[in-house]
Amino acid sequence: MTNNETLLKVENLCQYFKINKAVDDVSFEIKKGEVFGLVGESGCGKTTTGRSIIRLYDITSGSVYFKGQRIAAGTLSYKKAISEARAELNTVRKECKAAGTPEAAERLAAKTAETKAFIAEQQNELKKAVHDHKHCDKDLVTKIQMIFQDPIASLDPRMTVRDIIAEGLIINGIKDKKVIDEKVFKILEKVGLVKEHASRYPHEFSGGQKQRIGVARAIIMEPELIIADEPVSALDVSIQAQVINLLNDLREELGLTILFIAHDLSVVKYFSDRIGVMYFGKLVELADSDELFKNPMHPYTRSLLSAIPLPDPEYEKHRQRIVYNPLAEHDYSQEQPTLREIKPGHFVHCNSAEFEKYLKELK
Amino acid sequence: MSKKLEVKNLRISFKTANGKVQAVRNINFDLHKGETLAIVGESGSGKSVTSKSILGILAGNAIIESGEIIYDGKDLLKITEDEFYRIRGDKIAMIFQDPMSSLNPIMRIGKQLTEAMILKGKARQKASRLAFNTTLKLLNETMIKAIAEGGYAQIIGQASPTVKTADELSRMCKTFDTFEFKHVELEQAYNVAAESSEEAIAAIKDVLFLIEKNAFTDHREKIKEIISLASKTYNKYVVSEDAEQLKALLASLKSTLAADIKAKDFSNTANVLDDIQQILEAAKAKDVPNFFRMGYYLKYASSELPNMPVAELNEFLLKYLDEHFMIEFLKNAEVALKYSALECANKKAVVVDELRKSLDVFGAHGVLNKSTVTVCANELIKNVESSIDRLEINKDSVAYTFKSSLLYAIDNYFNAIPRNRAAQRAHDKQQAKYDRLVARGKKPDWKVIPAALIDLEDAKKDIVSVVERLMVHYTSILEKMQSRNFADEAVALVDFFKRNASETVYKVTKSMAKHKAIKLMEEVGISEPRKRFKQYPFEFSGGMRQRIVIAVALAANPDILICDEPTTALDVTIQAQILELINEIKRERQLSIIFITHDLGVVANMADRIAVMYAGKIVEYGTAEDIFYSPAHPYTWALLSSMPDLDTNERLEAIPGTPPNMIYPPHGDAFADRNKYALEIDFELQPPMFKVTDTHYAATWLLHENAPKVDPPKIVVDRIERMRNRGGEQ
Repeated sequence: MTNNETLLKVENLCQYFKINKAVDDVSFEIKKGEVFGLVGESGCGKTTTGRSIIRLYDITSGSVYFKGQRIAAGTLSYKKAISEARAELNTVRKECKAAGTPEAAERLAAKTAETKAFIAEQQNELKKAVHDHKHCDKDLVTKIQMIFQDPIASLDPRMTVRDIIAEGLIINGIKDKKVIDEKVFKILEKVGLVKEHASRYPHEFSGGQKQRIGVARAIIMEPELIIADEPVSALDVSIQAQVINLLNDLREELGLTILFIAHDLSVVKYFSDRIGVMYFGKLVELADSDELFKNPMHPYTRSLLSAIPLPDPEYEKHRQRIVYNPLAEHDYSQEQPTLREIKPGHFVHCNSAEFEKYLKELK
Repeated sequence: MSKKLEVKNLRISFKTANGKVQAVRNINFDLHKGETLAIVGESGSGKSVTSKSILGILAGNAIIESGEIIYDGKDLLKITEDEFYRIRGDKIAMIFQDPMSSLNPIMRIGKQLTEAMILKGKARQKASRLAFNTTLKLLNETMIKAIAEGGYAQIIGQASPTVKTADELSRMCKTFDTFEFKHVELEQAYNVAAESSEEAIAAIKDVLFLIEKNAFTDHREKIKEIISLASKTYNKYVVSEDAEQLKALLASLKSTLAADIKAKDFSNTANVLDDIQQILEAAKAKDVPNFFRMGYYLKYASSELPNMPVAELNEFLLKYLDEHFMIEFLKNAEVALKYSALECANKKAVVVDELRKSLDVFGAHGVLNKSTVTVCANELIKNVESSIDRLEINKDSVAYTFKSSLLYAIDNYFNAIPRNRAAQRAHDKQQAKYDRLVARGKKPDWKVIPAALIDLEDAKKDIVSVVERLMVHYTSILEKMQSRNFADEAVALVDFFKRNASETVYKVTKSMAKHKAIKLMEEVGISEPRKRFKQYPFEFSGGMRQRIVIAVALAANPDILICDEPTTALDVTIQAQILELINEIKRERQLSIIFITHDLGVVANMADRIAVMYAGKIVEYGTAEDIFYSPAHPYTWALLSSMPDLDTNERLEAIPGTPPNMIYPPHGDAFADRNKYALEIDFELQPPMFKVTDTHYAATWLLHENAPKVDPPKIVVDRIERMRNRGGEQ
């Protein structure tokens, strides 16, 4: 099902809340028709990433492209570049003034011209980013929809199921009641509910059915990308299976692309084609799901995989959990790490020394 | 393994506007010391209700229809709220699912952690003192009685070297009392020093690690802690010869660090810390003297403690104690124990006869007569109370709860009668209406609510079962009488005294509580506990909050820990850490755990035994291996096949439908409607518990010998196959 057309591209995404770097320099691409899993512990920024993509936050820096169009852009990187250039110019100016020689004056002039050009360029980029962010195509953004974690909290208790599902349509200007009803009924059937449920209120449904309503609300806008933020974590096991099966069916039927955010690795493995592992706002490893589970390279991924509980008492008794301590694992005093491709399609966040080490281990 | 908790025949319902919801229907299970029992099931299967009834925190509209929960000789369903205060949180603690709602939002974390410790510390001191004093007094009295009435030779079967007078026996008990407290004092001092030394070593290792890794941190706080810890280690049996050297090192530590901070090179500090660590490690390796023996020597010997190596000293002290006191004391204690046991055994034999006779009264046909029943019951209770051996350390739970259980069962029966009449009239009216409608050929879409909230026949059966249980129990005790070893029991009694004495002296001060709380916070994996100590719950993330809840639950050092989905809200790494933490604490403290969850992966990690619940009944129980490698009940199959694991590729099999409405529980197997393997009989009759192996039981007709042979779903079979193969590799 997966083809090579890139549907969503996230470039150097940063989302800072004051000094808290919730998402820090994250880049990935999602191909059309695939399920991209995003895992990590709570507070590592996976939900924030999802929310930034759908423009629930104004991103700090970086850009998000959807179907080739920039739908969100941040400005911090440009501002930073400008201020750094200015600071550099200042130091050069001081040095040159102190020297007082003609060569120095010449150098200063050259530097000033260069910096000015650079700043103009950056400001231009900045203006573009602000423009893109402000005037992004609203219709395009409705093609991204979200499913939330808690089905109870995410449905308004005072609205009927019909109102909840139809709200998106109404906001987007569809006024004909007949059309809306028709659409709502069709969607309800698709998610495994019946027409009669439309006039009921959310509290009359069980947990699994509530999550189905959440799914219905998302797919009525005929989205191409669904951001599913922990859609099954709040559900019972037996109902989890119902919702996962539903999402799987819909994906085949509607050709959906899904960004699946979860912390249950068994479910992510079962459901996703590719998986990105996040740790403290950084994407530390990204690979095909089979590849990731077969050859986990980053020590954090290893510790994460070693923590998965399996329904096998014998295995559980011998399970050795690997503890990840970033201070002990990495020495980044010489060189800062970046995301490097260690194998086709397999990226690891590391510096060159570690890169060599991982390559050796892979062989 | 001894039973810690027994749940018998428990039935709980909830009164609602629509009728009676039967949440728990006749479940039985035991919890042994140091084991984890996992209760698995969907939401609404009654697993949380069961755990809440153990803690006595059921909602107001709950009706306990029958059953017993026996802990430490008490029936938790029948004791008063005052008694429950002593158990809840102290002996039985609970970790709730939602950490936010189980912490007080306007109280600092530190206060919440230490509050209970300080209060419970005071209470425990009092309780231990009481237990110590009353038991010693009782022992003393029994000793005197035994000698006066039975005589040494008759009971033990051998002549005594010297028969003691009553005065001498009293003096002996007094002596024991005095030196026992000396022992505790000594041990307390040693423990403080030894613990501080261990902690200091751990702290030093932390700092050394940070220095080695060139981490940019401020070491001053940690160094301060090391100094304060290390200076508590001066004790004769911890740091004694090296004390001067240690003092000098500690004095130099601060200035060295200050110089190092200026120079930005911590090698000097590291050297000093290394030296300190060596001294402490050496102290740790020393032998521990036996303070119990030493206490006696120091109190009663005229000479100073001889200067010799610890091992020799222990031998010497043992000899001294035995010669002067212990052998004689143990002998007398043994006599007393045996005398008391024999005395009670005679009474028990009488009680068994009486119980048998009383069955005619309680088991009579028709409605029971209140006055006859009450007279009979009172007579029984009096006799049973007098037949209890009060000197036994392991309390005889069945006998101790007999009074409350019997009275409760009788009350239940007689209270049900008047209520019954009003309900019966309403029921008759409704039934008549229903019948009229049916006669007219209509199909009413409602059902008739049963008349009796409590079934009279069931209530009567409860009374009989209480009596029968004690009868069986006493008979087995009487049979075992011959094989009891009273010498061992006397030693156990002395241990009991030791334990209570040490608890009596153990006082929890504010700073101690804070220290302990910080240690607990570290233990449950909270970084910077000193800073976190002063924060409010909302400043913590979900995982951290859950850790605090666990720390609060563990602070009281409970016997039984009930975990109600403790990790459902957490992610994998934190979940693994918390499960490991609970497992570790379980091993260390011999904790019994009831673990409630719907995640089978978690269960495989935690559980020794598993009970699978559905619609208020236990449908399958067995050891973890039984349930995961050879599941027998279709519901267990369904649960297993609805969760993916790392090797699952095929479509998951979700369980269709929803659990049944428990106002009208189905006649047959409750799972029959959603079960694709259901037989016809499943809709008619409830299956009994079939035995698969000695440890494995399941309630499904599929195990009946006449049932067709059915294989579990493919996804489950495949997985078991995979697990077997993987097990072979290891």
